[in-house]
Amino acid sequence: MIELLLPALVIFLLLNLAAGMVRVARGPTAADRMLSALLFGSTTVAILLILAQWMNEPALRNVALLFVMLAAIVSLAFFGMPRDDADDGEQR
Amino acid sequence: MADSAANNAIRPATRKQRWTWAVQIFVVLLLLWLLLNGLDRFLAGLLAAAAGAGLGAWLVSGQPHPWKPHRLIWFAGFFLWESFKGGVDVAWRAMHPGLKINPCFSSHCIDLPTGQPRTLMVATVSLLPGTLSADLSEDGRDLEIHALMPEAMASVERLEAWVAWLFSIES
Amino acid sequence: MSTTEVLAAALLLAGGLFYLAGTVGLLRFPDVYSRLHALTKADNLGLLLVCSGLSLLAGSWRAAALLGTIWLLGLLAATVSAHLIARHARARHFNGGEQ
Repeated sequence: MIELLLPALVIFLLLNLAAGMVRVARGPTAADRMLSALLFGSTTVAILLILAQWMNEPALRNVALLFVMLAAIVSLAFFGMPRDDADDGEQR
Repeated sequence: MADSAANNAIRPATRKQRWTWAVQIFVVLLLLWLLLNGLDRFLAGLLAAAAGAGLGAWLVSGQPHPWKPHRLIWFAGFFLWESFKGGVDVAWRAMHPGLKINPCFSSHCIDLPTGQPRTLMVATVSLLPGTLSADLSEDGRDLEIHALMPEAMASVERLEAWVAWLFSIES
Repeated sequence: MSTTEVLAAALLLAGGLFYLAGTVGLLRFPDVYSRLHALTKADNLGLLLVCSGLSLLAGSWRAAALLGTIWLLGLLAATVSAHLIARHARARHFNGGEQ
């Protein structure tokens, strides 16, 4: 039963991710597209963890760990540290 | 995550504070090593944790705020419960046919010292039900919060009280 | 099927449901900020439930602790990203629209 549930959940999460990617196409802003990267990160981690259990491959958990650490760095790299851009658009 | 060095009222950390900070980092890093690697090559883990702790104590900016471990456990409990409610709340709103949201912006003046307390506050606001830390003013005092509905703002005050309690800050 | 497996299955299914809710919010909510709410909060709860279910199945303390660490880091990544994305959107807004 569990052996069936795990792959089914992986497929469900993949479909979910595909649906979320509609947002990339629709936009309308760059921030909206960045949201899909967030969705991609959190979904991929869940998929990797489920696969680790299903295929009895604990090493995949380490891959998920790496992914989740990259997720934070990706958005930092994309938008820069908050202090760097503090002079544009904050005079209110 | 937003503020560290930009404030003017920062005093450098004392030697004792740096040592406490180093010990805390050391314990956390060593636990992480044990978790990922088990007991083999324990010596390498010991050295790596010591190096990390030394670096952390050397680079710390401003005064680290002392916190009590048993209070952190209570704070973690509060945070877990709130973020659970936050997830359920937003899921319900997203699935509801009528989209039960009334988004608005609201400014909140943070009454916490710079450094860890304020950083923790800004980071945790985003996971409370219905609130999202959207922007921080130049001086790091005014936090711009986006709320899914105006009532959500009430929980921000409670969070602030919890953070102050965690770091034993008198107000 | 043992009790542990039933409980794990329930947790995994609930986790999947929250992932679905996150995506529905991402597609339905009217502005960037509201979409951020949906994505960060619902997906993190989803990840928590999936991690708890898998810890039960894995049946080892070390695997459970690793899953917990992964969840905590995911939480950190979500708050940092959410704040940065919201900030970016606001900066663009006050500079007069999207480029």
